[in-house]
Amino acid sequence: MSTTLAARWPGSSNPGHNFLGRVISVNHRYDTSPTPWSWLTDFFIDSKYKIAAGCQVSADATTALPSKRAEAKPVLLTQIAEYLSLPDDWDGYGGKAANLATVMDTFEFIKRYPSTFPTPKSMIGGSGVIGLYWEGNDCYVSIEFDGSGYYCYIADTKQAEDGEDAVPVDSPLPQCLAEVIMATADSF
Amino acid sequence: MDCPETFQEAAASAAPCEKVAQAKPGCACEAESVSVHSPGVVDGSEILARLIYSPHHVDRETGLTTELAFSDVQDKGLSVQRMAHATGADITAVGKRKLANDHARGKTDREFLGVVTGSVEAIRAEIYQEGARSFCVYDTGRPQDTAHADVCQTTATRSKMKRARKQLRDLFGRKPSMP
Repeated sequence: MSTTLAARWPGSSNPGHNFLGRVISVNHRYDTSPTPWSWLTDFFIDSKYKIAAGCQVSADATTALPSKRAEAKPVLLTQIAEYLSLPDDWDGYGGKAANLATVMDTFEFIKRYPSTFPTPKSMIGGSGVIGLYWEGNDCYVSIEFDGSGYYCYIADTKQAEDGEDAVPVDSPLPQCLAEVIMATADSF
Repeated sequence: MDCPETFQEAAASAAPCEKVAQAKPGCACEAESVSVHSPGVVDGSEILARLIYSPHHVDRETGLTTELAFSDVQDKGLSVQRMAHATGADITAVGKRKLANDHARGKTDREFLGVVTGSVEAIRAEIYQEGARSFCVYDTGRPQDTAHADVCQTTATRSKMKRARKQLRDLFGRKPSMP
């Protein structure tokens, strides 16, 4: 799988826009994986650095990460991928598993999210929506993905409330969102 | 159509809260009982309990509830127990019965962590910036669960609704405990 992807991704002018199509091309791994979703995280983690190279992001940018944050990202991706395989009624209230489009939207956001920023935590809702959140220093940031290709967010501090209803998942991080995310961390 | 009929019809849809809000806007059905199994309308002085299960209702590190543990409030309704009409043992029994059903169906990773509680008065006092109420509380008692109630969110922009659900999370307290 990696060889095929390595040949495709770095040559792309905009890998993110073709991400879903390429995932579909590796769907054959689904049946042979140890868990139904492991192909997805393997795919994303394996290809992350190849994508970075294609986008001309310095290798130093990854090696210079604070080790805790660098380690947290694969864990986060795995947790999110697990939401695909939740059983029906997972919460006892008729909860649905996340669908593939929702997971891929979340991955798309994380792919573009600066690695040196505070790592978010993940959550899932009964309708299958996936959330990422950061909380600390009286600040709260929460992003919600529903598989539409857009996300909704709130970014609140003690002094101000901010938010948007529909931000494309492949767009740059809005500045106010980035600022409040950073404010949730004790040190940055 | 009266309120009980509205709720009966809405129950068959995927988003009962939306259906009720369309048919009876402005929390109009709070003023009358919506279920024949209910002990009566939900009073402002009551305390509601939300059953919390691991692993997905809580932050894995802190054990505190997440905002999305309350996301049902926007469509199907947030199922809660009325503590004025059920003992702690009754509520625990509901939680454990649900858990036993889940385990029987193979969902063995789950654990009943207890409940978080919030006051009806505070929930009904939540408003959007424009001044409209964010949540309605209805007495949706069931044959085997007469103390059941639902909290439904009223419609606003996505981000405003999201912020209100975070407020709801905070209103309920964040650390589950046995009732």
